[in-house]
Amino acid sequence: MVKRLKSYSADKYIAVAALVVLAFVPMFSGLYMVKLMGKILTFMMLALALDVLWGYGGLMNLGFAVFFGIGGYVFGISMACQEGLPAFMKAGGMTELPVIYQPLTSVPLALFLAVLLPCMVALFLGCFIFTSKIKGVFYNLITLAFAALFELFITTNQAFTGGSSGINGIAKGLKKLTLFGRPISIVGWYYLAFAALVLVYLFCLYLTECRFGKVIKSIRDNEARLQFLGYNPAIFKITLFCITSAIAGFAGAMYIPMTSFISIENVGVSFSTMLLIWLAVGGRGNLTGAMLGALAVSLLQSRLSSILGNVWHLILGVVLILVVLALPNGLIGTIVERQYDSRITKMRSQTEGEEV
Amino acid sequence: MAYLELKALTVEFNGFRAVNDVNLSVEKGEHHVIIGPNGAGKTTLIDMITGKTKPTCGSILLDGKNISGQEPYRIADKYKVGRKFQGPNVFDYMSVAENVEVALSGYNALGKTFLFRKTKEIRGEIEDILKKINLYDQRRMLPTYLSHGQRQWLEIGMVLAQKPEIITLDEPTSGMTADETYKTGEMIKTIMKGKTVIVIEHDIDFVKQIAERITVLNQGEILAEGSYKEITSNPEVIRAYLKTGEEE
Repeated sequence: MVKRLKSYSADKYIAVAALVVLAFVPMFSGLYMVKLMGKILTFMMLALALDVLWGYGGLMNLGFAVFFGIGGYVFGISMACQEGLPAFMKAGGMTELPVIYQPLTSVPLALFLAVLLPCMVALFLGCFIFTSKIKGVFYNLITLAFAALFELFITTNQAFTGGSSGINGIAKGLKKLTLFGRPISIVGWYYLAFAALVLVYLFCLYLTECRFGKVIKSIRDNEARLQFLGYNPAIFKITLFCITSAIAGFAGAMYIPMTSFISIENVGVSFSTMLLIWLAVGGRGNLTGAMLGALAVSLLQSRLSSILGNVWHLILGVVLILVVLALPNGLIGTIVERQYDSRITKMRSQTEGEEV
Repeated sequence: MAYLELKALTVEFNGFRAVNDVNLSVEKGEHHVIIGPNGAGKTTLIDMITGKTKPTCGSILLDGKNISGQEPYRIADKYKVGRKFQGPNVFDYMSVAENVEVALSGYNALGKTFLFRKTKEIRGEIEDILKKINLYDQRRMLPTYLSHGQRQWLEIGMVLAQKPEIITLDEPTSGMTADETYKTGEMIKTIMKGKTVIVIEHDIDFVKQIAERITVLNQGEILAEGSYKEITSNPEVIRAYLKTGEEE
């Protein structure tokens, strides 16, 4: 048992330790902090999804926040529709709920759609991209353009999406929700998000360590070689894209209760870029790295932006440059690499000892 | 009819005929070696058999079925054609054992990759292959820590894990010491016994060790075909290929 525990790599311990600390946050902090940390929990889920897609599958996505945004908007609009026609629709000149929004009045259905819709969008995009010959930088550009298009779609369809001012009136809908017959407090939402994060983490752990995970890592490292082992890479890439987009959509839905608000700030190009920074700092290709990268950068952001205002971007830039220069594998990636190297050295010295 | 038949196989790249009207038959269970100077079209021939390159004209019949022009993953999965690249070409960020595991045949469909369980039998199968290729002690290492020769063996192990009917090996001994080359020859003779094997090779001692039949390619065309003795005494072959080899 002890031997088995020792064989795990250091990042798993760090992940467990971080999750334990996060479990106790509401007991030691005020409402503001709980809301902030709850929001960060959903960011950590999003980071996990992107890490599985990019870090493990090698499919960089410059517009991944779109899927988080679709999930968030679907659930957010559903909440806003709970008390009759939302204000932004009235302002847009509507007198009754549009037909396409009718299903959103049912909360379980809205939650389901918040997961399904991003998945379907990914399926459509994936079939288009991965079965064609679009590769490398052109693929990246499509994902970027997609994020820009989505942003444009939100801002120009004010009556449907609240435009650039975002979705308001979510809090009223949230108040109506109950769990076991009682309304859900912010601490309750925190623990729901926490449980969701643990589940998403375990799911991603399974996904990356089962055979599917090995296949997507092989696609990342050497797609050309994999084909000759009898795998069809396109099917695996499409599936991976769909699964991770569904997780991102779910994270987006969980984000709504923490902020009671969503706007293009959380769906577009600049938020997508922020996700890449999380992974760069934490270390991509490592689930713990993704989670802690999101946690560290988001905490830093909230602290610094309250003190310094917009100047904090400069500090973020400096941090990013330092990490990329000094620790190209990210904070957690570097720790894992050190541990692996020392293990190999030990193994080598042992086998050499036997030979003598 | 032979097990693998190439009929009038031709491929052109921008007007250049890399392989020109090649007819070749390989019997089931035969260990066939293709030799020839650089640029003779040896690798291109393997590219066409494994689906990497589509022939301009001609056909490739495997057990009577035409496989020419199909996607590489179909040829590998459905028709059981394994390939070891000139290289070696392995997955550098997975351990030696994981490399073999990914190559293991029978679990390539999407659904099966989610439900795949490493049972005792599968574990045994992987260990068995690792022992055959002399890499059991290195099973937990990343391939980047292996020597060039060991990486070649790892890729041979991956091909074995595919349980192929036809094995194509592109320069399996490049970068190996004489001792490793000999060991590789014995490996091919024992563990690939009964399988149809097509090998591209330059090392003439190695060719002598493993070849049951030899085809000599030169400038995209077949120059000669026969046993080791016939080939090494063929004056045309000596002029085109063997002689220059000796001068080096």
